[in-house]
Formats: sequence, structure tokens, C-alpha cells
Amino acid sequence: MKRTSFLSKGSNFAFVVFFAATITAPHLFRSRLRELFDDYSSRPTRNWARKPLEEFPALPDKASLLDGKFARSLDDYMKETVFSRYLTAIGNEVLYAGFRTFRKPWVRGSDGWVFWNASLNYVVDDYDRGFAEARLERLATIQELVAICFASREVECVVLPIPKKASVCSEFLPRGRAQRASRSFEDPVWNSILKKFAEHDVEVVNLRPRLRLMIRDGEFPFFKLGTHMSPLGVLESGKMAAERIRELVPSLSQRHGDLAMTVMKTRKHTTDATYNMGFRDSLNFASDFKFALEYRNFPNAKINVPAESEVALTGTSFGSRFGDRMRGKANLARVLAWELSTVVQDHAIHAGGPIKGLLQLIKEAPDLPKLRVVVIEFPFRHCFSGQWQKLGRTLVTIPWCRDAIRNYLKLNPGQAKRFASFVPRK
Amino acid sequence: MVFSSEIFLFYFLPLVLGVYYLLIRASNTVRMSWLTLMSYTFYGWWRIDFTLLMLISTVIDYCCGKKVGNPATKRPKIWVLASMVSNLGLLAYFKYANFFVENYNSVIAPLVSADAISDWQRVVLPVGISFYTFQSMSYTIDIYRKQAKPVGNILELAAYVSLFPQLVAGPIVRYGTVHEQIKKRSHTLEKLGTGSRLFMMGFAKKMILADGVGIIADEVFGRSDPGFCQAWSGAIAYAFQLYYDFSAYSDMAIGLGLMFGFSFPCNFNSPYKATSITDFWRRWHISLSSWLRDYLYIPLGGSKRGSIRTYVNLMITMVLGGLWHGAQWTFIIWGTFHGLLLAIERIIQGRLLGGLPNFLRILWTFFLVVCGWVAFRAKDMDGAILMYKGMFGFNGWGSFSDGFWTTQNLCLWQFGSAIVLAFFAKNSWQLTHHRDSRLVDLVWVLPCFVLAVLMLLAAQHVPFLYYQF
Repeated sequence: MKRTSFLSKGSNFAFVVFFAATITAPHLFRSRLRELFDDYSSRPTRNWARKPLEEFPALPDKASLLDGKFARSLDDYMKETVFSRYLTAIGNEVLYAGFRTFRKPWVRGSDGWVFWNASLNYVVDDYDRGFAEARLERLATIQELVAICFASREVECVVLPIPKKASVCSEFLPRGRAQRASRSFEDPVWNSILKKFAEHDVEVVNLRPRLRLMIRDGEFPFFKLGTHMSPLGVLESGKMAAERIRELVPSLSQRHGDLAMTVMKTRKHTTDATYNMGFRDSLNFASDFKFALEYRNFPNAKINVPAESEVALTGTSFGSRFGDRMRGKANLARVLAWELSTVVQDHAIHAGGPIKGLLQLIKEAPDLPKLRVVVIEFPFRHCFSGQWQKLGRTLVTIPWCRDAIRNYLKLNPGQAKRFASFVPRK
Repeated sequence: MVFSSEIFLFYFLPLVLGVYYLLIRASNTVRMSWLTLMSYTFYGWWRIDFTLLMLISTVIDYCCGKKVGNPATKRPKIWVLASMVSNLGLLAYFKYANFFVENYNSVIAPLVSADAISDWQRVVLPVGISFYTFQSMSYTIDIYRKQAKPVGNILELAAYVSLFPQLVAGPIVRYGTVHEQIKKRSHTLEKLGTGSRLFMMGFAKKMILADGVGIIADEVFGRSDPGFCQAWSGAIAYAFQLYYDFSAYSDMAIGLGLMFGFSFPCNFNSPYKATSITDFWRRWHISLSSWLRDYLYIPLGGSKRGSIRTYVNLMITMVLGGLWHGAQWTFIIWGTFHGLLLAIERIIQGRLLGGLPNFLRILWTFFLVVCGWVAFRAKDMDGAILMYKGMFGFNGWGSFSDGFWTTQNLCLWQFGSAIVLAFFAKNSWQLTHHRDSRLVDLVWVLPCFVLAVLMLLAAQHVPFLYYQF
């Protein structure tokens, strides 16, 4: 018989054992792996696309939805069911440690557009619809609670959901992904968010149609090479929010006039790609990207003077001053301040998720004596993400939220009674 | 199902191997039944209805083989012909019908009204049909040539045709090569060790090198006006992507075969170290080139009927070889290009390049091969022409300063490694099968396999390129 190997028996045995161990290890060590890695990696993983929810016992009742039990039981279920998410996390860690990059964290669309790969996996599909529904219900309930609380102090709340780049700029999605993404981000999904907020009597500004029109007119509401809104998108969103606020609070109707923007030539603020998409700092943008990065600056408007602020903004990097790194002074707070001719307090926090900024606002609200309006900027994906929890601890529960707001509001006994008896609507 | 997917690596393979070795003391029929069942599962994972196609092909060849192998059959040639017609008929319909209809429509379009053009529903190409029809055909032909005996029962033939390690992308294993192994084969630690090493090597090549280099190729071939530097980088990247992708599949297939006791022939032998196009075809996809040689070129007359006939035979073989890869004009151009190069090499018989040092001959051969791969990779003729324009300077020099090149540091690292390994390292067959292979030369396989597994888990798998053929 022709020999196939000239290694010793021991060496052959070692190779066989190693091979067998590698293809079976995930089954044997998944409990250990589970302990090593947190659920919600900030790194792009496929977790979201892989959650088999069909077998999840049942959708929660209202109570477990509100006190975090549902989220915990769902997470436990995932830990038991989807072992490969831990291996995925290890894979990403190794690649990141070795090469400071992931394998293709983004995908190139047409005409020089780039989309964050993981964001396309935030799919509201059959298998996680129940999950999404539960998250959304919880979000809307909290927003309703916040709105009711602020309303008792005659402070209006306006929620500003930020649509996904992929849903606004879907024409430029890479072929193959476009179909899947359009299924995921199509109008019915977006409208379900608006509908859910409406069911809870939460004021919402629907940004998507006008941002889509911008695309049709050849303007870029999002960075071509990034994940966030461009200054133009921020400007348009701010204007729309201001229009609604002027209707709700007529005393804020004055405006400075048309907002003029100056085109800047600096490369510093061209995009969020360098820190958000893993590109190198020294990136020399290709010609096909350049025209998308036309940078515009807003005039200075007065923000962050607590004693004078009539409007407060909470939210994420879409509204935060951290965004100055990518948009200069073209941030949402400044647009609102300009459009409403008032001072805006910016509580939006970069990488804070949807709740951190809101918590900060609640905490600091006693220092805002003139507060009339709260604008809550809220990216689409956070409607469905797991950022309600961090390291196994529920960040926001309804009771916590209720107590925090009650402390701020210093309610009279009648208001306090009504507030304490608040029951989320069915 | 593909080898580089979680479902295969973590579920299918442990299950199939585990049960197979539990059955090691059982009869060969039991083991082959298990392998056949799992092979059909493997194939049906993609589309279960196409397993029927494979079954039909098997049944036809079984009947034809019985007739051909029966000494009482008066005209066995008719049964060989029946087998070939049925196999090639299936291949023609599923692989070439779209091509034929579309070209026919485009020809008649100017001559007739729009209503007269047929409303054609495109036919879906069954994965691996080119490979298993060639294998099926070799069964009846080998029996006709008295190089093998007919199978005892249809299970043996079904196992041979469907054997999942090499079912969808080769190597094309002829019946004559494995007919004895199907009936009886040994299972040793040596085979298991070599098989696992080859599988791990192939898996690492696919995940670490081929997929990474493929990103560069996809990027360049997707551009509308690649400059000189970019076009060459893209074309070379594709050359390495194809090599590592396909040879990785072959390594895994041969490795899996060894684990199940089969010895498949070598399919790649460092093809980019070839010093001529003739040499290249002795090293690239050896199972296909030898199949075409033995079942097409030689029956056409080979080189025994004069120079002109030899060149014609070469051209026919290579054009059909090109067409085998896909029903597109680009594949025909690629086949014709190689046919011409082989004919020219025969004419000049090494007179032009014979005196050159080896490394220059290797570079020249590589240059020609890369030029050919451009047509092979391009979506259509326009795409190929765009790339050729770039490669021959019609789009200017181009540069590497744009966003793609400055950000894909991992891909560039993979690209560099791919080049060095292809030209300067031993190939996987040499590393595992040669007498001088040492443990120290093979230990690197272990961390590379782990890294490849992690890469698989960290990113979506990319299907093997040769699945499309």
C-alpha cells in the first residue's frame, strides 16, 4: 500500500486529536465560553442575524416586559441556544488584536457609498419580530412615561427617531444586500415605530420622507463614507423638529432667518469613518468619496447655558457634541437653537445608547428652570437593540424612571398620586 | 452545504465521521450506505429536488454500465453512447440552455418582431453538475475500455457519484481510480492523520488567503476604469484567489477522502511555478486536464495524426475545456487563448524561451496565465476589455492612494503571503505526502486552522469559486 504520511504514529495521533477537538470543541466548551464573553459586543458580530427565536417559549406579558424580566429571560435563552456568538466574539477579538481591523467591517455600495456591515444585520424579520416588538413596546412605554411626567411641568416632549442610513440611501446599497435590507427597513417597519409611539401618545417627527427626498434631489443626508448624518441631514432634521416644536410651543416661533452654511475645505471633519468604521486616521479619501464630503459649517448659535435653556436635547452621537469631530459645529443642538432662536441644552451622549442621555437630562433637569421642550433623538436601531441592559444589569426600569422623574418634578400631592398610579396603556 | 461553513464544520462533519467510525467494524455496504445517505444530504442541503437529477444520472449509468460490461451485449458502443448522450444532455440543458437561447435571441432580435422572441425562463444550474456528470461518464467509458469492471450493485455507483468530499468541485475522480477502493479500503491512523492535516491546510488556505485576496480582486474587477497598477493588482489577486480557493477545496476533498479511507489523486502541483503553459496544464486542475486528455484529446487523435490535426485537437480540447467552466463567451475566449498558447508552444518547441533562466520562464508563464484569468473572471466581454485596457496602460497608471488600498491592510498582508507561498513554498501535497516531510514543516497547520475557524466565525463564509462551474 502506498504510504500517505511519513510522520510518526504519535504525530499523526496528535493531529487527529487536535482536528477532532477543534471541530467538536464548540459543543463541549460552550458553557465556559459563555462565561467569558458578554452578550452585547460593541464589535460587529453576526449575533443579531442568528437568533433563533422561533423556539423561545412565549412573548412576555406586560409586567415582565416592563421590569426587565423578559429581557433577562431572552438573554438566558440566547446564551443556552446560540453558542457560536461566543466564538464569533473570540474571532473578532483575535482579528482585532492582530490586525486592528475586522474582516470587512463595512460593505461598499454603488457610487462610492459605504455601509456598516453589522448595521445591515439589524434585521426586523420573522425570527426576531417578537423580540423587536417587545423592545419597541418597552421603549414607547418609557417615552410615554417621560412625556407624561414632563407634561405635568408643561414641558413638551418630541421624539426624533433617526432612520437608518440603509433605509434612506437604499439606492446605493450593494447588490444582493439591497433586497434583504429593503425587506428589513422598508416603510412598514419604519411606520410600525411611528405607530407604536402614536399609540402611546408620544409626539414623533417623521424624518424619513424628507431625507429620502434629499437623496432624490442629489443631496446627501448621510455621510457617504460613514454611519452618521451629514451636516445637511442634521440641518434638515433640526428644521423639521423645530417646525413641530413651533406648533407645540408657539412662544418659540421666532427664528433668526434662513440658516446660511459656509463650505469648509478642511478634511478634519469629513466623516465619521475613521473612528466609527475602522478606517485608518491617515485615510486619503478617494476621488469618488470627495464630492460626498462637502463640508458645511453652521453659524454659532447659543447652546449649553443651563439657566437660559428652553430646549433640551437628549440622544446619541447623532445629536451629541462629540459629533463635532465629524460635523464641526453642524450639530443638532445648534440647528435647533438657531431655528427656535433660543438656548438649547445638549444632553446627547456619544455611544451612550438611547437611554444614557435621557437619564442625564432627568438628573440635570432641576438646573433648567426655563425648560419648555425636550427633544429626544433616537436612532432606529436602538429601538430594537439590547442597550436596555449592560453587563446583565437592567439600565432603566419603569419604576426607576418613575422615581427619578418624580424627584425632579417635585409633584404636588394630586400629581404625585396620579403619577404613582400610572399604568402603561394596553 | 460548503466546507467552509459552520454547519459543515461543527455539525455535519463530526456527525458523519463519528458515525462512520462507529460503523468501522460493520460491513463495507453499511458504511457505504451511510456515506451515500450523508452525501445526498450534503447535496440536498442546497436544493433537495436536484438530488433527483443526480439519482437519475446514476441509474442511467448503472444500466448502461451493466450492458457495456456484459460480454453478451452485441454492440456495447451504443450503451456508451446512451450514457454520454444522457449525461451530456443533462449538462447541456442545465448549463448551456440559457447561453444558447440568449445568444439565439440576440441574433434573431434585429430580424423579427419582439413577440417572436421566446420568453425564456432561465434554468437554474445545479451545483457541481459539471463534476459529477464527468465522473458518471468515466464509469461507462472505463468499463468499455476494460479499465474497470461494472459495480456489483447500484449502491456502489451511487456512492461513487455522490461521494460528498469531491462531489461539487472535484477533483474529478475517475471510476477506474477508485473502483477497488469502493469495494475495499483500509482505515489507518496514517490516513486519518494525513487527511486531517490536508483538510486543515485547505481550510486555512481558503479562509486566510483566498477570501482575503478575493476582496482585492472583487474591488478592482468592480471598477469602471482601473489604472495600470490597480488592474494588474486585481488580476494578480484574482489569480491567487482562484488558486488558493480551488486548491483549498481539493486539499479538503482529498483530506476528507483519506479520512474515509479513499486515496484521491493530487489535483494541484504548484501551478504558478510552471515554466510553460504546457507545464501549467500538467500542474493546474490535474484531474480535469487529464480527463480532457484521456477522454477527449486522445480519442480525437491526440498528436498522432500530424501537426495540423494536433493543433486542431488542442484547440477543440481547450475550447471545450473553457466551455466546461461556464456557458459564457469569456470562458470560450479563455479556452481559445490557452489552446492557442499550447499550439504556439508546440510549434516553437521551446526555441524562443528555452535558453532563459527558469525564473524568467516562470514569470512569463505567470504573465500569460494572469492575462487569461482576466477573461475567466470578467462578468462579460465588456468587463474583460475594461480590465485589459487598464492592464495595458490605456487608463493611465492609476494609484494606490484611494480609500480602498489604504484601508485594506489585512487584505494586503494576505495578498503578500499568498504570493510568497505560491512561488517559494512547498505545496500541500508535497508537505503531506513526500518522504522528506517533517513534523516541523507541518506544525504551522494547527494555529492556522484555529485562526481560520475564528475567521469563519467572525465573518460570513464566501462560497468556493469552483461551485459555479
